[in-house]
Amino acid sequence: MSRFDDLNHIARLRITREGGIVAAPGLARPRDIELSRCSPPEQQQLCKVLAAGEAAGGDQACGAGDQRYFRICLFTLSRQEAQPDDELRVPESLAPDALVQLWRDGRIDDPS
Amino acid sequence: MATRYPGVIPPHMLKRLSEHGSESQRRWASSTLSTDRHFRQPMAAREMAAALHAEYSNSPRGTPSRYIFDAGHKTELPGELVLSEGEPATADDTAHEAYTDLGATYRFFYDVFERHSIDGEGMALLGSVHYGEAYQNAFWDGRQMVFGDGDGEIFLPFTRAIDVVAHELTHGVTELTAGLVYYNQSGALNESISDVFGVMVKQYQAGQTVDEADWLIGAALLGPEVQGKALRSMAAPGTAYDDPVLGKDPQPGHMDQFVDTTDDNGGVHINSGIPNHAFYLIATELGGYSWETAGAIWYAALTDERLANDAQFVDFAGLTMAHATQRFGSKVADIVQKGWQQVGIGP
Ligand SMILES: [Zn+2]
Repeated sequence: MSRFDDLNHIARLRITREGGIVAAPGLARPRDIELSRCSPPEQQQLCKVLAAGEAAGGDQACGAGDQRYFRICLFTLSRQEAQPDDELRVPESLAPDALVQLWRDGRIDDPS
Repeated sequence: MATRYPGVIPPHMLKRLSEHGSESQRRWASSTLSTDRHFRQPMAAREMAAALHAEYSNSPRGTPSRYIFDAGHKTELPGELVLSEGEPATADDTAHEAYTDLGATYRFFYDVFERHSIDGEGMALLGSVHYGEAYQNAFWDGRQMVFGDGDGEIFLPFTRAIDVVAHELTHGVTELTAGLVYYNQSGALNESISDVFGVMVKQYQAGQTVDEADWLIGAALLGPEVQGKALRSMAAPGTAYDDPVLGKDPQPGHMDQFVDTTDDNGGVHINSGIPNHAFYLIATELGGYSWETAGAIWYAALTDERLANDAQFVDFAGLTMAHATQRFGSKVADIVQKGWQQVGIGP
């Protein structure tokens, strides 16, 4: 079980890569994903990626000593902007490949 | 989904660790375990590092114990041992750079503050180079330093900049002294301390006075394509770069421009510009070499047991004023106080 088993109440995801000694704003490269534009299979893939990130060591304090981390902010339907309603952080060193690819390329090749 | 597992620990090293690990090494290992247990790194990586520390943390005072590994463009740590303390230079320039930069950083902490390595008790300096593919980062993982090669266009190998190597080593010193929590102001203070000691190592190595120094962090690792001069500027925070890929340097140099954000762990690499600039103002006002007076005050504050791990800028500033008074008298303390006031901190 993961709290990301279902994303029905989520309108938008934002994935960034943060931290590191450079920590330049341009390197965060935010990736926004509108869930209403994703098919049900695509939404299921996203659920799996988030659950895998959580299982790999997400949701913890990370970033110390310039270690980079991925941050996934989840926004509900009712609040388009403002603060995220939920958040997952995954250290770069533990991030599943599918999460890295989703952030970098905006797609997931391997649905497994 | 690919899972990354580190290599297998040589059994003789594990045995050595359990049998011969010194008191300080065991203490270090347990403090590392308690501070980063939330990382849930595969246990083997942690045990591997503990075994390496047990094996190599044995140099006499005044001598570093450096071990450089080649990660072979993978992300498993530490990689293959390619250069050990006292060995002749290797053909690999990057491994050699890491070795000499760590040596210069050791020398600075020992000669200036009589600190025998990261823990003060001769901890081995473990560094991995060629980490990842075109990896644009360097970090301290609680056990060792790690350096990427950069992409060659925006960033050169991260070992190229001695202030960056010293910045990472200083993260180890801070972790084992004040333990400043890596979030919001205490995190920005943690970052600033790494920049302050990083820049001092660079100046010490070059024999520069405060007036001769450029007060830039990471200038030597910027590649030919970058529109900028460094990662950060302590003299003029916010002016280090303005580049299509990197964006614009977001650092403030005064509390009036403090950035309230949840990005970057509450802006730890952003608001560090404020204490960075205070150090610059104080050191340049004092004159001479940065490490002689301003650096001595900063080191005393960092290693003062009264510095809490969730300290705010103002708490650290207060300790620097106390140590300035105690060690150098009221005239120096006035300069320290004035420097903090100029960035909006203190009465
Ligand atoms: Zn840092």
